[in-house]
Amino acid sequence: MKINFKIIAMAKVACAGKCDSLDEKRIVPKMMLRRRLTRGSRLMVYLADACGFSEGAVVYGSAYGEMQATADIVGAIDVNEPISPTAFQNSVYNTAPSYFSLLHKNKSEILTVSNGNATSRNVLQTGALQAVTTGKDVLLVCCEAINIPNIDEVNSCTEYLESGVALTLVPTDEEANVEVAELEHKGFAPSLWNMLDVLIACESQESAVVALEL
Amino acid sequence: MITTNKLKTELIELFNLEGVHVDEIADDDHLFGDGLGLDSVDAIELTIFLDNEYGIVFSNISESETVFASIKTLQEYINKNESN
Repeated sequence: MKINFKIIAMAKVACAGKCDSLDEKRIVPKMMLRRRLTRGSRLMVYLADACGFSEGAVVYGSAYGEMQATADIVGAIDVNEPISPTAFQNSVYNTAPSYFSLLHKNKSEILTVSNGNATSRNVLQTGALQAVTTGKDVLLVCCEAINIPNIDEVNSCTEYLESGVALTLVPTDEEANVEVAELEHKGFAPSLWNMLDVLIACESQESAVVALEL
Repeated sequence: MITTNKLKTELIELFNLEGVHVDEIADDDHLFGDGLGLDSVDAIELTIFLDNEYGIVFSNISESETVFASIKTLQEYINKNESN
């Protein structure tokens, strides 16, 4: 079943290495919270801010999750050292949207999706269902932060080691005015492609309405 | 022997206290609460740090509460008990 959604806001970010200008000091003024943010969390709060979204339901997706925190844990196990509690709490897939909720005191529902290359497709489906269920706007975010030491040993296809895409959508009775084509987004992790498809299709429309498959 | 300034530098790096400089931290500043503002997760992180870097393992919780009172008490304890 297809339902039409109005795209209220959208944003993307892509950096070959570490994204240096994510405006963290303005977005997260409290240093004691900012100091714990993972790279994925920094990307997510930046994208949410770019979409003007601070309150409401969030669907977050990442194929690789919190790579640095996971690498820290594996590294500690490898050298037989105790695991850092910060790395432990930062290693879960919903770390980024959780920090977002702490930052904005957002008590709305958070859903986290991870399904390899189909991650952003599933985020779109889950977000669409969430928007239909609640009738309110929902923030959809997909991020990948794989910029860890030695990543070049296993990565040869993803140019943007830190990247993300965000959309805010709400169900509408208006006709769809945008055709979404499935494209190959070279340099981006494939887990972001389906949301990038929507973003690119909507960029040229002032008030974009897309039909999404539930 | 570790100096208070060296310890402050290590704590700033350990806890990623961006924008905080050594000369802004007083020797008698509390580590938790109204001092540096560290929390319970940081307490575990600090315990692991002391073990890894100085070979210090606390035998009971109440001992660590006293040691973690301030920069000065921590520095004195490290200098008295380090084994690495």
